[in-house]
Amino acid sequence: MTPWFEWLLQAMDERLRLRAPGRKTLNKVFPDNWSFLLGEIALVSFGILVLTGIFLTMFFSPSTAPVVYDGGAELYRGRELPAAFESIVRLTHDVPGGLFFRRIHRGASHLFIAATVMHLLRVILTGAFRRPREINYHVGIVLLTLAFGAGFTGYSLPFDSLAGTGIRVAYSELLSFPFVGDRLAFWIFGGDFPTGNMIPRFFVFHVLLIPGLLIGLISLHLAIMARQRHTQFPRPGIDGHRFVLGKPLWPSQFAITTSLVLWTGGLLALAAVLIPWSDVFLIGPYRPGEVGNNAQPDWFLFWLEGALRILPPVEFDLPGVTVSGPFLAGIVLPGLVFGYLAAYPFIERKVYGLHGEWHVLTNPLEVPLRAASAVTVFTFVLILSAAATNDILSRMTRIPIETITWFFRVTSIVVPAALGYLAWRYAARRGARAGGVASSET
Amino acid sequence: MSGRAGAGTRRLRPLLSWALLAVAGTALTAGAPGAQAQQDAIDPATAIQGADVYTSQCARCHGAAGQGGQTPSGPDAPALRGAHIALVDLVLRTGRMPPGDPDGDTKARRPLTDERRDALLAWMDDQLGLRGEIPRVPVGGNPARGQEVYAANCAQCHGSTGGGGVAGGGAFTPVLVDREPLVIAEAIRMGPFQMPQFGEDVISDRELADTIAFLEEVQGEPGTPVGLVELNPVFAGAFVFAISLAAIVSAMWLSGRVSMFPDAPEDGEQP
Amino acid sequence: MVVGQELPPPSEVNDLLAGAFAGLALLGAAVFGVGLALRLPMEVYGGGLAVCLLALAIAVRRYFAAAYPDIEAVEPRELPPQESDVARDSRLSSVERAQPPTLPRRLLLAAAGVLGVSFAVPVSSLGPAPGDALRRTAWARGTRLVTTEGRPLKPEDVVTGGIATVWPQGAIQAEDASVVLVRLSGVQPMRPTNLDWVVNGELVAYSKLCTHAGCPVGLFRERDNALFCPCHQSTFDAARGAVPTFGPAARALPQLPLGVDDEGYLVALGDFTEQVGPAFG
Repeated sequence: MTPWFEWLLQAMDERLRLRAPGRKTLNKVFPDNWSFLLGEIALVSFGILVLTGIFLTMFFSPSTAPVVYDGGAELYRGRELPAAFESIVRLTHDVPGGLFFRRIHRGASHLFIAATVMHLLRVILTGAFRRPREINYHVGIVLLTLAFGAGFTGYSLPFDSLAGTGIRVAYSELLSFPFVGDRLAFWIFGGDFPTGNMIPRFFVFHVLLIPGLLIGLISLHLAIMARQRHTQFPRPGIDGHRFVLGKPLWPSQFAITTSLVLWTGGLLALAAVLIPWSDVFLIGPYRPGEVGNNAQPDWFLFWLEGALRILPPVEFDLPGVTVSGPFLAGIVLPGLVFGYLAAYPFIERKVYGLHGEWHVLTNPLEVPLRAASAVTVFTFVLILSAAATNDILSRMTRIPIETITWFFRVTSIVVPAALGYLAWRYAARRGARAGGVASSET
Repeated sequence: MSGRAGAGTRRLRPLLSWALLAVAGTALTAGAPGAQAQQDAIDPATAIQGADVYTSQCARCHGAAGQGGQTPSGPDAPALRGAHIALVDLVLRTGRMPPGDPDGDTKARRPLTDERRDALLAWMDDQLGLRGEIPRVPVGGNPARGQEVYAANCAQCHGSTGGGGVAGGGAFTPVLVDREPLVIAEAIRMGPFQMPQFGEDVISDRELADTIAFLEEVQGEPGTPVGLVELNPVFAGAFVFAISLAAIVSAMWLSGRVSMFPDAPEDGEQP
Repeated sequence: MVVGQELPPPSEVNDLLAGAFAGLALLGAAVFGVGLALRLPMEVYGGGLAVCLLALAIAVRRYFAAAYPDIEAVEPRELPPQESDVARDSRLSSVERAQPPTLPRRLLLAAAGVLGVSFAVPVSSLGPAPGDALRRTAWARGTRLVTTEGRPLKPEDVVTGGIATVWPQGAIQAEDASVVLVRLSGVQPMRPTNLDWVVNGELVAYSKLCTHAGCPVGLFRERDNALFCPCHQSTFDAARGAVPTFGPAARALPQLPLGVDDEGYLVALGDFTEQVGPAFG
């Protein structure tokens, strides 16, 4: 230890008494498996998002008021543009490093959501949501929805043609909300679309409200995790319900996490150089009544978009609610999927009559309900997501889009059901051989 | 970029029958043959070459006198007599006609050379009486203004940056970048096949020039080292998938422990 | 509690790797800083940063592998309290409470409740009441149809098989008033088209706002007179009152009452008679 560091530690310890809790923290054991790093990747991405986001906020103007661009970009010089789009053009074209940091920010947002989803899949499949971890599981689900919200508002802020179309579709989905749809939409947008309020408000959501909630809930997520200790894959020779086996924070886990931070940052920097995501330069600003062919939201909303596309034409009135495509795809579908996710820990507990606490992870292939649920919901969401690319698929394969849409209408129901059934059968056989679901109870 | 021209012609293939119908329609409404303005006599060498191209590559389906007929594969070949010269030129320039193999319509078609095409057009104009004239290609457009015109009139079908797209009913809109300006002008004014027509009151000549300038600007936009200029969310999603895989592999590499559960019990091994 | 500890054998290769990658990272960092300062292309400075971070990750890992042992440790979990513990004392706090008076407590709760509810009142001022904003547009009797540039149109300005996006004069780009003006080709307008609102027997105008999710329905296939929404592929038959023929839209696009004024310009004969855009509530 260097003398300076020793002096600093000494000074802090005299005031804050850090040595004892510090040593306890440094000795905290982290289970040793790659899948435990997925959450860390999400955390690292979030850190990168905050850092790059601070830089971007310095340049963005959250307004749709027309301003004249007078920077160096040939395509927009002298044109009147919505202020938000104008500031993005300026950031892209006239600020050194502007486009690079925008691309890192966009790439990090994709990775943040992707890593969160993979982390959630790990938690669900291995049963890490079981008692006593239901609270943290629910905090995690709220974090995922917040991540979606951050992703969507971020996609909207540049106010390019795609962004405006996305906002319009989201507005239509809000309108379809039962009983209070029009009020709710007017309340959030400050009037009928397109209003001058929506970009300023999305900006507040994107840089203040959602990140604030994310930071608070991520802290809570980590605190609960530290308090409850990690779950543990079954390892011969150790009782995972009484002990955590793994690597201490210092030095082993510290080395891994530091490398992970750097490596993730490096991957995102490399991706920013190679992949032109978030480039809205050629797309142009949003103007009412205009949309480009092949308009999609970001990938994590593909499942809702796919449902919007392949739902057959339905529209009928029930008391208080008009059942329509946007209602089914934008309100009912996410409500059902997230509702099932949130309820699943209790359903599994009830169905298998489980009690007590669970710290050792289980193989999903030995728990029929979990295997079937995961396979059904995941393939359903995946096929709906694929359905959102029906125009691109049609263009690439030259198959008429009507045929492709019908293909997805059928497969989105049949395939998840069939695969879910097969998963159930397989898991039931295998689970019975392994001694039943409750075989590793505390 | 190199794949685009090829893709462009391939995607025209399923539209062939409609193309023929549309040309037929144009020809029918063109009025009686000979209603043409007086044509200047063409140079005999050109006439010979044009007649040669016509007899060898067009006459079999469209008839020796351009009266129309049937293709070997079935659909009607429209009459060319009195067709609009800009439409004929567009069809020839984009390589939609003539088919590579007159007996069986082949997919990969190569447009005629400029010399042969011009000779054919001159001969057809002289002998079959094409109507109208090839539009002027206005130059010196303003790409900034063109972006607005493009977004308002073209993007819905051809995509925000001219990448082409779907139009439903088995129709596809072609890629617009890397096209000759004349082809863009002819298409806007003629409205070939399923495309609607845009008269000068909807897209003025100046706006046409601006649109062409915008498409040239898109073409000139520098891409990334992997050659991408602009990314549709679907393709961005594919890259997200790749990065997620990279992240998983990184996690496996960093942690060094890949397996999660002990091996499954073998059949018959009851605990 | 450490259960296994493996000291790394001294390895010159490992030290060499750590050093080499640290050097590479140094170089990358310099390229990034200098490149950005000199405004070199993004490929240069971005590549510098990427190389720097990736190399640094490897160097850190090699460095730790050489300097520290690979430790495996166990830590006891806090087990759930025994049933008897719970039964003994269920209260969190050990402070004894005197019997509270009932009325002040109720008033206290009431005050807190009313305060909470009143905080919700300013929230309601975030948006106006919808009123009939979703049922009305800027179209009125006699309003001329103008292009996005503001040019009024005459019937002959839209060629056969042609299409134009038009707005009410004075409300250009009012989103819910966007209209597609179509001249049908090769077919007469049929029921349920309102034939009184067709000009010259073939010029019809429909709301451009999709009745499904509100995207602009701007793609016109001349061959079958179909209006197609590029967002979700709803298809409408422009010759038959824009009834949906494919895709998720269930309602026809509202038809704009179309006419011609004394000077020969296209005008609306009134607002839409049906609600434009997606369903709500």
